[in-house]
Amino acid sequence: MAKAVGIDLGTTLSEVAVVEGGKPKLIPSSEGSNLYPSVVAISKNGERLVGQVAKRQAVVNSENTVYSIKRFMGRKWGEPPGRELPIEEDARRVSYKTTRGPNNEIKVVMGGKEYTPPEISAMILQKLKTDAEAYLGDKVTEAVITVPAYFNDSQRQATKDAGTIAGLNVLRIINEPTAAALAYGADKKKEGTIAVYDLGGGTFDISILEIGEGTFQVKSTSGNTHLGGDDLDQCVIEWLCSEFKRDQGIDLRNDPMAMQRLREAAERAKIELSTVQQTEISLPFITADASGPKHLNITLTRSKLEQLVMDLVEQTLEPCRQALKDAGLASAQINEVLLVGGQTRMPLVQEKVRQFFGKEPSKGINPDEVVAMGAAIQAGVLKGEVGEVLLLDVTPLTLGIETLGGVATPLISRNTTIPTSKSQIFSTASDSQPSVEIHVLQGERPMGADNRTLGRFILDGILPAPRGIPQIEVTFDIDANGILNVSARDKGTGKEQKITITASSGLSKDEVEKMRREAEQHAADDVKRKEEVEIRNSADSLVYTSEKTLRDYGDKIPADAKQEVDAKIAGVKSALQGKDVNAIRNAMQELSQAMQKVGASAYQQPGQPQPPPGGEEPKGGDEGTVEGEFREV
Amino acid sequence: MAEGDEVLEAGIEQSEDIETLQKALAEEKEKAEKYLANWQRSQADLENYVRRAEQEKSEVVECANRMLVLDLLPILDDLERAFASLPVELDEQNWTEGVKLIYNKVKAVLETQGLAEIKAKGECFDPCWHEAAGQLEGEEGMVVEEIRKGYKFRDKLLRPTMVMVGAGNKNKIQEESSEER
Repeated sequence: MAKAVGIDLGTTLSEVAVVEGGKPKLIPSSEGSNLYPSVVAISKNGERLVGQVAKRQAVVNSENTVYSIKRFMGRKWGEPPGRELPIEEDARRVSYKTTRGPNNEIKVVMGGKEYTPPEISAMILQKLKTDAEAYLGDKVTEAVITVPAYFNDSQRQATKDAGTIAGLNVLRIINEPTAAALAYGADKKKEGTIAVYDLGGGTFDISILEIGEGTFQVKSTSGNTHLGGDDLDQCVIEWLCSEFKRDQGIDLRNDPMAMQRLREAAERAKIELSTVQQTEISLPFITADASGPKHLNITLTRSKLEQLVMDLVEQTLEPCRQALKDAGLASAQINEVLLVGGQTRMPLVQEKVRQFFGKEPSKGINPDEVVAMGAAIQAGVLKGEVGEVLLLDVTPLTLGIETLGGVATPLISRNTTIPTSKSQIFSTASDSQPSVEIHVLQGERPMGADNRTLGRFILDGILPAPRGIPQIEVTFDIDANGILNVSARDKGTGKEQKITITASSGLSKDEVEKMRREAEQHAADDVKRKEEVEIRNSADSLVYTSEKTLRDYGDKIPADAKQEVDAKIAGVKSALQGKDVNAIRNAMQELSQAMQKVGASAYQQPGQPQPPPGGEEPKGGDEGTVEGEFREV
Repeated sequence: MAEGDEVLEAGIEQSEDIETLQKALAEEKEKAEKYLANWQRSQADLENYVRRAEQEKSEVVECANRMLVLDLLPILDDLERAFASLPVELDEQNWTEGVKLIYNKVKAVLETQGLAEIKAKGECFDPCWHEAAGQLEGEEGMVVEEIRKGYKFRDKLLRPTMVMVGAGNKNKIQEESSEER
């Protein structure tokens, strides 16, 4: 079935997303990036280029490369501007030619031909459509496209026309802030007021939305169409240039290659400083003079960066104030603040927003992708794909059983979507063990005693056999209601026992959280204790196999080797009495070495094709038997 | 079916019962069909997901390698810049030679992983592989100078070569076109 996609048709970058398995997902371009530059060009040999490729040749073909076409969508010459700059000003800022049509409409010239803005946008949309089709392996014929909340009717119509020209049935044009709110699941709320703070690469928008019964109403919008992350980068570049000039007396502004490297380094540093407190900007051999090569090596701290861009970030607050005023609201009346646009990753931006609105802004969805994702969700809803989604629960804590030495062995790990089931084979811990106890545990701690007991039962009637030989299949099955069935079956006899636990998810959210936290706090201690048990188990296992080897092949082993092994076995046994893990480990190593000698001597004997089994393998059990054994009951 | 008046009455009642039962059956059938359809759909979703996940798993490994190699490229650039501005008194010295060998070694390791230089100088400017930084005197549409090397990784573009393109017109030398906003 053909899918409907969501499209964020941006001024500098566009994105396309689709709902798959009930969740929105960005579709990468054929070049491998989730971002599609909103650039179209006609090359010198008449070829049409769109996206990244068009951007790369812009410098040498500037008169035939069209960018920022969104600024011209649905506008006319001489028209009073809305939130934008006057159209004459926007036209003056671009490097391609704009013309006036008979009805004052705007046209752009590319490759000697005139195009309307919707025709140019359609070329971008066509690229998105083609790449989405290649990714999905299916036709894409329907789309939801986003526009800024301040777009008027003719701007929206122009966007819709672009979709039609590109061969897309535009299911709906929605506002960018509404799309962001949808991605955050705001439609599931009954009512409330949301502020969407959108600081992108080149534009800033603030919108106040009111939700009621699943409908969104834009109460007010404000912003600055020429303020964004790129301006912040420029501040860093300027600072780097002046620092370098102060140190070295050379002005890098006159060196295009150096500036290119600076631009990249400045953006990278800005991004890094969102997660770390300071970063090194290191550009060796940035330039040279008569005295030799010069290097730029400057440490930029987060506080210095914040000082550099403070003015710009604060410039976003005036539009926020204006938007609240226009909506007739006080900041305290805003229920939720959403962050959109890559620049909102900056801690300073988040802090300013938090201070202004007096509440923590919602994060969690990639701010670069949130608009396209919201558009995809809207497309999914309109196509009936999202509404019908079956809501599946997850199991909040790990479920497992207790095995030898009190270790909790997980079968179903935390956050597994239910219904689900999982089987694992276990075995006995001692020779001729008649029964095993299945102790069902819930929790994240590695030792059984620290977790919650959900139930226990005994499977008996196991036929006498050496340890590790019987195969006990333990199956955990949780149904959609969280009811857990645990069964244990002796694969030898077919005998089975089971238990049904109805309260497996009967924990409150707080209890779950508490158990999870405890597990985190005790993580280091727990690992140590588990290690100790594990080393004890393998020491025990090594003693067992060594004794068995001596018993089975005693007559073929030289007396002195046998004596040595006996002594080493005694050594491991006495170490096991104590608590010193290292002593156990050392004794084990000595025993292994002694056993290896036994194995070697057995091979050297003529007419002795069968090596003593288990001689070099400290861990018992046949193949396919999972390590970890029941303790004896 | 039995005969007789009593039985007939019971029969009428029964037929009413049958009607409600049939209605209930039809409803249940409809539900069953819907559940089956949803089940098939989710099973298909899962199979598609698994298929794509398999494909993406190999892509993720490749992507991780790409990202790492991309981050290492500036170091190659720096070393090349260092060699390009090597003072004469250091050239041909054994120590310098050793550092050059280290550079070659790093490059060889990356090349065995799939890194390859993009040929640019003297080629026709191709925005699929080259990024134009400006124009210089020279044959129109040809790459006249490489200002930063470009690389492919396993035959896919990793970083385009930054180039100067021939303007074809001697009056139009080094026109730095306005930066795109």
